[in-house]
Amino acid sequence: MDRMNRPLAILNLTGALSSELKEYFISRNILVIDPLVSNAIADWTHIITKDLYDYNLINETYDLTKKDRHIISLSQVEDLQNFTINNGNLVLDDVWFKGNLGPFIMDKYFQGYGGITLGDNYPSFQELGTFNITNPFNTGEYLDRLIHKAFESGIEALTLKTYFDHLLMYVAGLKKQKKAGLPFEVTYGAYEDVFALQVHFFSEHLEILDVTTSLSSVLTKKAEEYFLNTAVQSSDFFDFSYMPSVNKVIITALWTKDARIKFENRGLMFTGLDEGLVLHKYENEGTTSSLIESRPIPDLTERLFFSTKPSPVETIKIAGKTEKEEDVAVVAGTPEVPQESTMISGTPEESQESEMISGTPEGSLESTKVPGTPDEAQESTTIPGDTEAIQEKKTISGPEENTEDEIRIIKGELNLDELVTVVKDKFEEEKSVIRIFGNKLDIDKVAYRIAAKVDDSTKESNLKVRSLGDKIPALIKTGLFDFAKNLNKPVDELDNIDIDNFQHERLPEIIKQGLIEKQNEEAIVSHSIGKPSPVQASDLLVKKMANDNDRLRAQVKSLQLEVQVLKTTRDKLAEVQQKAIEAATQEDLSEKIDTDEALRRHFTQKLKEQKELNQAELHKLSGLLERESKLMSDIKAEELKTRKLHIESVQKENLYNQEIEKSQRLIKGKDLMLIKMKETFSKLVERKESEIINLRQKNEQLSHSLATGLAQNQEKSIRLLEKQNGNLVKQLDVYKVKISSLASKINTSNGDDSKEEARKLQMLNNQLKNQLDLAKKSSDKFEKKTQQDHAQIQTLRQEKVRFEQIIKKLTLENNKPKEETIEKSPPTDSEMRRMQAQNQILENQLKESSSKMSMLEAKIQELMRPQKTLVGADDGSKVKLTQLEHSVKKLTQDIVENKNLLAEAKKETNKLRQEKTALQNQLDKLKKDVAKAKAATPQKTTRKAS
Amino acid sequence: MTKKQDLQKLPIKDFAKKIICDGNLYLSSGDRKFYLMKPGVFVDPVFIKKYATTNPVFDYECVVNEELKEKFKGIFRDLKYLQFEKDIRMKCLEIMKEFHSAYSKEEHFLTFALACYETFCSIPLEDQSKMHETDMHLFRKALYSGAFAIISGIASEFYNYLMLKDFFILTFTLDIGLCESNYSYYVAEACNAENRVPGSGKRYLKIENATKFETDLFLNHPKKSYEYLKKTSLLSHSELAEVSLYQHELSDGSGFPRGVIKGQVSSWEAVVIFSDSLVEILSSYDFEENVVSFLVNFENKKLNDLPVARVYKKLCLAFNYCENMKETGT
Repeated sequence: MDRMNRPLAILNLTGALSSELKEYFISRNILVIDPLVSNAIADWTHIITKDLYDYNLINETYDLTKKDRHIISLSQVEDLQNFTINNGNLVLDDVWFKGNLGPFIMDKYFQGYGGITLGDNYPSFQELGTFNITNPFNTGEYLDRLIHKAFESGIEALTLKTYFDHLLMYVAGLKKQKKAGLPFEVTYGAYEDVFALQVHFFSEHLEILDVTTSLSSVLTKKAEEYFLNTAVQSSDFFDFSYMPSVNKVIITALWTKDARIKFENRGLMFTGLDEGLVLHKYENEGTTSSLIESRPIPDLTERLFFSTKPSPVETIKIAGKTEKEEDVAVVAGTPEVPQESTMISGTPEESQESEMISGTPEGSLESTKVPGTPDEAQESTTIPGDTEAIQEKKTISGPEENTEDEIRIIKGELNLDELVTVVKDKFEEEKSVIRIFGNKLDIDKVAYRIAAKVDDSTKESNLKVRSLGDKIPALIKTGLFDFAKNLNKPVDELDNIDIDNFQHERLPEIIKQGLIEKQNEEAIVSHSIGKPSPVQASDLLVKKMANDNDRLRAQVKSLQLEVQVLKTTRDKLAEVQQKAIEAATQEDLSEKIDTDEALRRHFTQKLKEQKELNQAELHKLSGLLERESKLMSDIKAEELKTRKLHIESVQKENLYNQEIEKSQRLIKGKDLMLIKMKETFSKLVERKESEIINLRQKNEQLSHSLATGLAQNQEKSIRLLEKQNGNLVKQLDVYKVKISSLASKINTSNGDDSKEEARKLQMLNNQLKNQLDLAKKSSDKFEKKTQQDHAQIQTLRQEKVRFEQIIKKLTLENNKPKEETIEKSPPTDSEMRRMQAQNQILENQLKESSSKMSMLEAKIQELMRPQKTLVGADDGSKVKLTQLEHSVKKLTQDIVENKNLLAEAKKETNKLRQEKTALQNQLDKLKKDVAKAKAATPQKTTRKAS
Repeated sequence: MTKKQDLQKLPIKDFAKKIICDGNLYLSSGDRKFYLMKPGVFVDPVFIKKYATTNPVFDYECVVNEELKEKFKGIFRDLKYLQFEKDIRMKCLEIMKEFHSAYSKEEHFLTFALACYETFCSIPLEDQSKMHETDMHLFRKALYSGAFAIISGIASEFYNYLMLKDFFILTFTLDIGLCESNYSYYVAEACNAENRVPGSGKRYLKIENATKFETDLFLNHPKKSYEYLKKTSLLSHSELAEVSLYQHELSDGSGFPRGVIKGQVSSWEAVVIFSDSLVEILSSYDFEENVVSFLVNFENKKLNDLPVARVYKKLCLAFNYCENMKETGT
């Protein structure tokens, strides 16, 4: 279902394409290769086929699934399940290309455009109505309005109704599996002569299997297996698109009024819309609303009709009953031919004369019965749709509750008589109409009559016999042949008593057998769901296929018999005709003709001579004319009758031939599958046989050895046991030695452990020593540095003292110091005080650091002492070790602290140096001042002195 | 503006049971009124508790028509228990007619919004409080969008009670992903811009130099809202949560977070998107007193292109029908 992105390359396996399709491909520049014409090879994207039944072979040959190639079928596909499983996703008959819709669908298929709304998929459609389903079992009014619109548009609304019901139940089934989500949005519209209905819904994790499982073409009790198939078969074109990007499914169905599109030309498309190209802009949408729709829905029963087109309908009208009493029985058959009907009415006497062939005006008029009235609906019990509806109801109502009861009924344990009586009574009324020429029994009619009555009677009794559906007539027919065979009578010569006996004795058995077979089939199906082993599954499949094959063979046989019967009837008719001719040429007649001829001559002679005739002669002449005209009309009637019979027989023959051909095709297909299965099974059997042979050989060997070599074996085993014993004794010795060595080891192990511990401690000790050495070295460094600092401080102090002395000297020298020097001296004093204080602090710090250093040394010594005693000291070594670790930690912390202190001391020394230089500068200044002052003072003194 | 004589003095304790204030609240200070809350604003129970104890007096203007509200609630209740599709459809038509008739008479939209809120809202109170705490406007937007979702859902032929409830919850929680600490004025404006012109939200944030967190919050809030709905299982149809991811999609599929093109948006999704785009987070709500004419004259660039057009068309169709019915007197 995924759209391909590679260039289109199509392999045409149909032989020749229609001119319209050729034109289409040419106009779209699509590469189409016919293998019969060209040997070109490409990466095929699609393969076009026609009239294929089994697509497995094509899938295997062209690797369709693996290489994502898709099948396009240009003809009707019978087994949709098989088609879709093998990557088939388009069925479009050539007829579609005669109109506009074919190319449009092809474009849509190849280009993959579409969307959620009807306008997205079919842009030209005008919306006629919309509604949303929030409860799949609550759609009555909306569906009624939809059908009304369909009638208004001139579409066959009943097929639309069938379509919608089945599709809705299919989607409801998906919802139950949590693969579809509400709401289901429904839009319907029309464009020219095409009516479209679209449903879309949210669907998560949808797989191809979810589609194929509901596409079974066989009608069974499990309606969910064919819901989608029925929906597909009820539309002219069915389009199933999936949008994986948004997890949405869009299902569109089209119905066309184009007479060229017939049931067998219906189309189908499965596509994946990854990107969802959109073409339009909602002009046609939102124009309707069911909310404001208040018009009443009229009764449209008058619009119901059967197709008046000439169709292969066999209509036999037997006069004798009034028009109202006419009964309609629809021939039960495959769902493809639901229009085939047989009208039976009247008495057998008149039936021979009043048989009509459909297609003639009378026949067509007679065959246009309206199947909608309740009475007729009851009569036409074998309409496939009706059976489906019942089965659908049963599926909805619940599982098979009455099956056991039914079996008991059929077995005769319950009210079998009642059933037979009902069937018999109803059949009694119609028995007279089941005979054809020569009082021969019309087997088909008998079978269908009985089937219809069984169905009808079970409807009243609410029995599940009806679940056999369209199988009942076939079963009854086969049963009749068997019954006749047992009686050694040709089947068409069975009399009424025989038929009564058949109903009483054989019918319940046949129905019972049918039910049992059906149950077995269902068991096979249900068993297959429970994942049996491949062999079991294939066994079941083979059985099923064999059953199908037998059934089809029986059908072919019965059809051949019917053809034979028809041929004999035709021959007999020819004989009758011949006899009639012969009778006509008999003497009496010839004499009569001779006398008539003589009369004619006489009258002509007389007329020539006399020109007039008397009364008696005129009377004779008129009698002659009447006889002649009667003869003429008789001949004409006979001719017409024979022609009709001839046409009828030819039609029947053709029909049966078609059926035979169809069945033969089916049988061929089944045979092929059987052959394949046989091959695989023969291989399997061979493999199994070889396995069995091997096993047998082994078995034989073992039995042989058991029979012949028992004593030898015993000796061998004794020897083996002795050997084992010896080995064990040796092992025991070895273990003893080991144990003793282990014991000795255990004794010495304590000393070894302590040594090891001591070794470890020694290692630790060494490590600690190394650490202590490092610490010592660093502390030495610090000591040296502190000493240096100390020395510097000492020098500074000395210098300071010196400066102080100098200053004192200078002050002493200058009795009259200048104002400037007085002004400046206080700061020097204060600075000196500050420096002294700082010095004091530094000294304290130094003292502290030295005391710390001494403490460190003491600690180191302490540490060294216990280390000496550690070696050989076993008890409490661990405790000491922890102590050591703690002390090392403390030491490192102290070192860090010392380092910090040292850094601070450095800073202080730097500061002091700076202060020292500052002081030095001040001192220099002072000296200069003093010098200046000195230079000035002698003059003054001299002046004073002078 | 509210006239003085229209106001009534009420002690705050009278609001104690209200989750959403059904009128305007003003604090009196002499002649001056201090506007406190507009209708639709979620009243924090903490606030009520606090002021109920201190018992101040507020001027209060009620805008909700209690009678009409109860009428709507009654119809919703009836809808819940109806069985047959025709009856359900007729009930929905009754809602539409009632809505049209009420809002042709200038009723306040809060009446319908509160009826919807009280009928359909099952969102936990703490999550509502979280929305309110993040932004009072955000809460109001959610409340009104939810009400619009109900009316446009009905117009778009979704008559199922549970489906309508899901629409309300979906629309209400569409922006719950924004309720985070990184939420700001710029994020709110970006959302508004995105609603007006798809694709312009991110551009707006770039121009305003929004932070990475703000941009991330804006770009990821649809995903967060989706995760919230999935986690809480508030929806009867859990698959509907998908629509949270479509709220800022562009018609050509280049939106965020997924890029869903218009052809992939279903009607039910369009109902939610449309209802969300009717209300902006920070705007003044002109539609409160003339909602029908607001809806009929609503213009949005989104409508030209996005599938919400069909939802809007159906809404207008329903209003036209109601108008015609009114004129003909049937």
